[in-house]
Amino acid sequence: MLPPKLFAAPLAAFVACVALAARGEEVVYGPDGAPTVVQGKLHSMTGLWEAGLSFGIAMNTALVDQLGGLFSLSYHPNEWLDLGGEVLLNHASLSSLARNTRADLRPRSPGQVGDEIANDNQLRAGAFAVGRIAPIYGKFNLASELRVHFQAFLLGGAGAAQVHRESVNLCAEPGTGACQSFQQSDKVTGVGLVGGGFRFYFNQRWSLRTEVRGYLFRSSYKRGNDLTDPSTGAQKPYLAAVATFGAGLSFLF
Amino acid sequence: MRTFLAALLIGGAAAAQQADPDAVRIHVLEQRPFTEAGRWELTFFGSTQVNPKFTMHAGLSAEVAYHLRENLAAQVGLWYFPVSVQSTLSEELLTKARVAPESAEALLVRGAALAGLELMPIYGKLNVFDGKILRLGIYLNGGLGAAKTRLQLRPSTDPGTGRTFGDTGYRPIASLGAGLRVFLSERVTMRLELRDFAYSGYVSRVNGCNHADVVKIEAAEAGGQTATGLSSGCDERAFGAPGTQAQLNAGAAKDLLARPSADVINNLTFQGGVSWLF
Repeated sequence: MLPPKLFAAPLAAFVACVALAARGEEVVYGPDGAPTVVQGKLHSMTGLWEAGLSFGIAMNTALVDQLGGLFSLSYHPNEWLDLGGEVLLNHASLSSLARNTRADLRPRSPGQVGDEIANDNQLRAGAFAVGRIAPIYGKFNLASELRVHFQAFLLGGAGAAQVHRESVNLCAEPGTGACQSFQQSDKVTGVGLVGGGFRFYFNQRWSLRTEVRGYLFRSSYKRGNDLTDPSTGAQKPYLAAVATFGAGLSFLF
Repeated sequence: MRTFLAALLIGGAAAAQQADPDAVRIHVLEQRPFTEAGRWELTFFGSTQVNPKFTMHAGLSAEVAYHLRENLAAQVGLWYFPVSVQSTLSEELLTKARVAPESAEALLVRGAALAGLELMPIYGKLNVFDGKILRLGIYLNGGLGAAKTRLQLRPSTDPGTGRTFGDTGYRPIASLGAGLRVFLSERVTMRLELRDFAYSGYVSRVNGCNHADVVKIEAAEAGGQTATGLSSGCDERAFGAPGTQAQLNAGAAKDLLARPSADVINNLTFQGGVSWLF
């Protein structure tokens, strides 16, 4: 059945426009004959939520072994920013270096005064508000076949964490005998964090995230402690920094 | 009517072209905007050690590379570490717990020269805030060379001597690295890389003196005398001014030489720099 004459010309014009539009989607060749390729992002992030689970290991804590996991949930309001929250859980304990140092400690004698060894912080748990800014998006080819898209980002945030301290060299027991237990403390403290990393996309939903981050918080060590009297000495505050390397998977939805 | 039929046929043909179910995968080959093969590259780096457990290194380096092929270059580099000292932790352990790392773990690199190869198997591109598109390369490199080493004898907190060092000579060094190059222009490249400098931590002589020599020097200096019967090449005066200073430094060298270890030291260094292609 043919359309009425009234509609034939407009319909013909419409179909012709469709044809032209279809032609318009073809590759346009540049002046050098090479195809002009629109280099947009393959993986869009705007308006998506992201859940991530990663494992992290401390890199600069020679006296403490620290290994843990980080769960994160964030929202991407645009392509280069995401804001969210994170929960951190670590297994932390004194390293073999710290235990060897304890084993080599000299016997305590009356009147002997010593300072505590610093940087014995065990970052055991924390919750943070985190923002990531990802100014760089790129891709590279592996073996000329497998294209890997990636993002480079910087992150910053703040929150609170539980920090356990177990002194390497100050005894918790008075007297001059062999030390069976060492001075300890636990506190919840404000923590700032800074870092940076890469996201490697597997596909639109899954990606591998690797990052290096530093947790900054106020800590202290004891000075002028009579080794036979744990109650003596004064705390000397300092800014502690625990740097970690983390890698994990994230899911966009 | 004929007009309508003609338009319908053209439209149908065009639509059929777009809806072709047999999609053909096309590899778009995009020529690199410039070539590196046959060109020289001069790079200046700032370096810092990233695993500073017992030692801390920071310094500068310069590297010259000739690109034999697009993805392969031969390199020669010089490193100088003006900061090559024991870490804060090492000094804390010494002053607060009276324990010190073995000489192998405390060995310091003052400078190094290495020659090697660099392979850049991965090539890509990136953009910044959806703006300018930059080329990038991911590379691996390796090299062999020699390093000038030393040991720190006294801590910086020692009121009598301050921080002092003993010369432990030259030794072979190898490096393995991986990094990222971002081509800012046809001539200027930014490099970020991680290098593992590996070298033997075996130390048998400090300032040319073996363990027996430093025992003699410590005893002689404590008595206000000069040691006798030292082995060839042993420089007593390199331990400092006669008296207490030489005695303390020789005593520290004696402790470090007492238990020599053949460990291989891995000094992980992060380097960031800018290079110029010509």
